[in-house]
Amino acid sequence: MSEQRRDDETKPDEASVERLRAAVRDEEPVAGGEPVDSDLVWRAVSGELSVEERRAVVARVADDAAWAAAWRLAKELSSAAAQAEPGVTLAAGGARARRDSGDARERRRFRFAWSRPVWGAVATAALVLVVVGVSVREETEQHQMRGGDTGTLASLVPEAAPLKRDDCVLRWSGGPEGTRWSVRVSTEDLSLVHRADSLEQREYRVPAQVLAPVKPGTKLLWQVEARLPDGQVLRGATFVNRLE
Amino acid sequence: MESQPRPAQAVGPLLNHELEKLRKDLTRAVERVCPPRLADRRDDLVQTAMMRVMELQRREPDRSRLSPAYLYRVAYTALVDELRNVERRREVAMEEVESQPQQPMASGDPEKSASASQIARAVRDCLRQLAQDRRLAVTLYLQGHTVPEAGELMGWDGKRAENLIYRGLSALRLCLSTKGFEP
Repeated sequence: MSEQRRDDETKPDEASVERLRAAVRDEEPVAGGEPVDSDLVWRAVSGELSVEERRAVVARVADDAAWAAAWRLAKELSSAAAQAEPGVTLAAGGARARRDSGDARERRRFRFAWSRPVWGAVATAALVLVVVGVSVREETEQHQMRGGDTGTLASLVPEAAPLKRDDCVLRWSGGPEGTRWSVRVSTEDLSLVHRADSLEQREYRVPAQVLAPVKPGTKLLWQVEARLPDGQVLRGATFVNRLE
Repeated sequence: MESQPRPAQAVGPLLNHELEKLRKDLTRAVERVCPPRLADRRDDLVQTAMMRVMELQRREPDRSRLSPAYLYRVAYTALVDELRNVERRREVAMEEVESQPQQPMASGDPEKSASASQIARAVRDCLRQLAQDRRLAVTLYLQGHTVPEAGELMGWDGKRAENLIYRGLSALRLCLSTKGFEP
C-alpha cells in the first residue's frame, strides 16, 4: 500500500473537522491558567519567533483554551494588518527611514511565512545569514540572532561563553544616550519568562533566583527592546546563550 | 506664512476610513473567534479595542509613528486583555448565581452548550494523549490553519505536516469515540 493511499484513508471529512473546530472554539478557559502573553502569541503567529519558540507557544495553545483563543485572534488580525499596511517608499537615512525599513522587513517576513513553506524559510535564512555575515565582520562580538530590528542592537555577550547562574549579566550595544531598555529572558519551552523594563544602562543582571529553576545547559533566549529618546521603539534580535 | 500643515505621510495615523476598516476587521475576527457564550459581549470587546487605539492616537505627539500594523497589534492586545476580563467577570457572576436558589436562564440552548463544553474538554484530553508533533500539528489544524500553514509554522515539509495532521486527527477521533463522542 502506498504512502499516498494511507493518507487518503486517514484524511478526515470537512464536516467532521468543522465540528471539532467549533468544539475547540467553544471551550471555556480554565480558571487560574497561565496568563496569555499576547505579544508572544502575536509574534509566533506572524512568523517573528524561531521555530523552537513557536513550538513552545503552540504547546501552550494545545493546553490552554485562553491561549488558543488568543492564537485564533492573532491569526485573524495579523492577516488583516498585513493587508492594511499601505505601500511604503523606503527613504535613505533618518529615523523614519529606519522605521519604514523595519515595517517593510516585517511585511516581507510575514509574506514569507505564509507563502512557500520551504523556500520561504530558506530565503529568510539566507537573508539573515547575509545580514549577520556583514554585521559580524564589523563587530566580532555580535552573535546568533532571530528576527527583530537586528541592524542596530547587538549582543556583547560572547556566544561561546556560558552565562553564570549567580552573575548572569546581559550586555548589548546600540541606541543613543537616553534610550530606555526592556529585556525579556525566556527558555525555549517557556518554563521561564522574565522581563525587566525601564533600564537606563545597556546591561541587565538577571537575578539568581529567577534562574534557580532552570537546568544547567539550558538555552536562554534574550531580547532587548529600545525606547529611543524620540519615542521610537526598536526591538532587537533574540540572542541565545547557554546557562552554565 | 509661518508654517504649513505637514503633508500626509505613507505611514501615519489611521484615517477615518482606515479606522472603519480596523473596526470591521476586529468585528469579523471577534465573530469568528469568540465562542457563542460571549455573543452578547462582542460589541463591547470591539469597542474596548477601538478605544485603546483611539486613545493611543490621541496621546502620541508624533502620529507618524503609529503605523496601521502597530495599531492592529495594539487592538489585538486590547482584545486579549478584555477577553480575559470578560471571562473573569463571568466566572465571578457564575459563582454568585450558583449561591442563589434559582438557576439562571442561560442564553442559547443549555443542552447544546453543555454538550459542546463536554466535547471541548474531551478534545483537549485526547490531544494530550497524542505524541508531541502530532499534538502540535492537530492543534494548529483545529485552530484553523491549513496543512501547508501548519507545516511552515512548525518547520515541517508538506508531506510530514500532512501525515502528522491526518494521522493525528485519526487518533483523536479514535480517542474521542472511546469517550463516547463521535465528531
